[in-house]
Amino acid sequence: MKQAPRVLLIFLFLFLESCNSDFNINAPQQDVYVLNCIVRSDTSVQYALISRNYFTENGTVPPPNSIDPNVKGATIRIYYNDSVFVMRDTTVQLLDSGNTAVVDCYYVKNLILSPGKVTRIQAAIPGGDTLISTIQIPQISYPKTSWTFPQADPPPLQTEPFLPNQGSYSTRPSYGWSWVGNTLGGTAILSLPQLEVYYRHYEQGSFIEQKLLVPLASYFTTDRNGNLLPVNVELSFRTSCITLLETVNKAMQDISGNDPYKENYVITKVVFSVICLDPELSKYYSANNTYATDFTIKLRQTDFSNIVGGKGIFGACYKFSNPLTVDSLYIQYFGYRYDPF
Amino acid sequence: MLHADYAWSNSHAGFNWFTATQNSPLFVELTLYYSKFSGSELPNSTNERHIENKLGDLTFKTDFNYILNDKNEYYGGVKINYIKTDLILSNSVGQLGATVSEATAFSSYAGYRLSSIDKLKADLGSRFDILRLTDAPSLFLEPRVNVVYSLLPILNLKAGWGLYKQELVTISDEDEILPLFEPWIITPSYLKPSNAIHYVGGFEYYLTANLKADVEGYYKVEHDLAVINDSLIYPTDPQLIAASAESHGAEIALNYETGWVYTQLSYSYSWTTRKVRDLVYHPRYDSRNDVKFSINCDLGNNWSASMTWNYSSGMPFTQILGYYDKFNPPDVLNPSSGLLDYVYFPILAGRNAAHLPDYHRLDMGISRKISIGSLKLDIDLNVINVYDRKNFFYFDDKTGERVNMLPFLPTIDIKAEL
Repeated sequence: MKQAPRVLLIFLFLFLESCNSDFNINAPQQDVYVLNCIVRSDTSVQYALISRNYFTENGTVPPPNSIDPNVKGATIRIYYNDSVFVMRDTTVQLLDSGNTAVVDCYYVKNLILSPGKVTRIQAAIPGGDTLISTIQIPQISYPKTSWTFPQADPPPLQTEPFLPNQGSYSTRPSYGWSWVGNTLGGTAILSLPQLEVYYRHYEQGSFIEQKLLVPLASYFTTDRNGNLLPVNVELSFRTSCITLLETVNKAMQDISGNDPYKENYVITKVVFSVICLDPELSKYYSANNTYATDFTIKLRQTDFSNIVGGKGIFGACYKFSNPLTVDSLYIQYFGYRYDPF
Repeated sequence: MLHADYAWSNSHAGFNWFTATQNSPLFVELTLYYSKFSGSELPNSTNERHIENKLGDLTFKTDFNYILNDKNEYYGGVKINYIKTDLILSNSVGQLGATVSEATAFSSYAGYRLSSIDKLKADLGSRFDILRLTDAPSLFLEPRVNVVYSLLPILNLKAGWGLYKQELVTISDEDEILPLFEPWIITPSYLKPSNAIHYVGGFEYYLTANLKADVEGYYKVEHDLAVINDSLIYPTDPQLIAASAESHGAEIALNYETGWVYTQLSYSYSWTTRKVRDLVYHPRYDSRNDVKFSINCDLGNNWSASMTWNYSSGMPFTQILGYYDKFNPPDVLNPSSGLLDYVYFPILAGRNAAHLPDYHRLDMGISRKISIGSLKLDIDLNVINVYDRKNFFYFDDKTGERVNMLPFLPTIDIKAEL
């Protein structure tokens, strides 16, 4: 009986020693593959990247550029419009903040996108893992829009060069465009509208092709004096934009600025365009951006992915361009010529 | 290397007035107090976000008990409390945004305590919410029942049931590997306040005149728990969503008491799961096993001594499956962004699927009361963490450093009373 306290102490010591005191932030190692591919309508060459996860000692954040996680030797196929496009390994050099970056990636040529097409990517990783994703190339429609430049309702009948006023052209807020994303399930898409004026400038014996973006606003607010203040468009879920006729006039004047030789400027076309992300890329970009700009309680951005079997994003970026019917008399008012050919 | 700083502070001021008039069966107690909590995470030029949370609570309450001749009792009270929470958060570019919530709640409670029947004690009551902190519809009544039945002189059976509601909640990001900071907020108006149903049953058994065993089991279901929206995608998405939880457990406590020593040994087992959308996981504070052993001795001549030992099995946390290069473009329309714009990002393993190290600690103390004229002195010598157990506190993922709780720490307290 006298031994009891001693035995108890030994048991207590053994119990305390057996208590778990290990801590490892790293879970048992397991490969996670990442596929990123953004197909674009402004090019026929499409790129993809495959990488894998990497572990650091004690789970510390990795030092910059210390690890190259890119995976080579994968077979990537894009199923598009009843065709199969096989991507090839390559290495590209790009300028990144003034430095040359060498990136191991995959590419395919002659893949030209069409709106509304369902597109699937499948990547077979050496070792047997497969990553799959399906998207729909964005498509939009315009419910009620005037396609003249400047925007007119109804179109004016003039015979002399003129600066339009409220009597002949829309001013605000009807001076604008709206569009609707026609996506599967009606999922919202991110888009950015642009009003582009293409022109040629005769300089030192030759014409130089140039482009001017007319400022567009998502909406207007007013200051204390009742003046309109534009909130400029950005990539957003908004599906309309507006501008002021005076803003268009000012942009047109800025083309030549103080150059007295206005006739050296030839307006070739005016295009209203909408750059759209497909719903999946919209979600991905929005998840990143919402975290970056909002005051969220959540301490880490949502790690959205549409890659089955791994992580990353398969998305599409499509630019819809609508050439506007240009009123040549309006162009002539600024001293420019209009030549659509 | 730069570190974020964490700061907490608490302050409290209160007034309490109790009145019991001779030969009157009415007892009244008035309480007025103000408490303030403040916590912040200051990034100190690191990539951490600025988080600051303040909670102010001004409460006035009055409680009364009216004891009948047959020992039965009516009780009740009213409570008015004004709550103000400030939550200041930064976005990723360092801009600060503040969310201030303030509201006043007015509630009352009433009940009847049955003590006149020898073998049966019962307590039936309810809380009534007249004015709530939130606008969302919620329970008006929160009824509670507790019953004790003496089956034998040495055996009492116990049972209880109740509905509970909570409008002031702490928010914990379960996706964060080991968060240090969990702000308090008033449940936003787009969510219902969380509510719970408790079921409790057990017994007390006197093994000897000095040794009592308490055994209790419980089952609890909670609805509308406010948790962080872990799928925040669109700017219009709510920051918080509703979750549910279920927990059960048991506790066994042995109490030994003589004239000069009081000892308690208890063991509790608990199991909690939380469900958010279709994901079921153990929340962060779900420690499975807890043991507590304490001895308090009156050594005579104004000397007393105490010893407390606590053990808790490790709490759940989320490990990482390493990092990956995440496509994070500042401008997705830039054609080369898909090849260049990548940042490292942790891949989370199963939510709270791993466990922190077990926690245990032994504290000892000895105290002496001294009277010098009208001056009364309490002198306490305490030793925290007697055997210097390295209990886990948090992990710094920038440096890989593990930070432990208090080491072996002797302290002396002197309290003077006139």
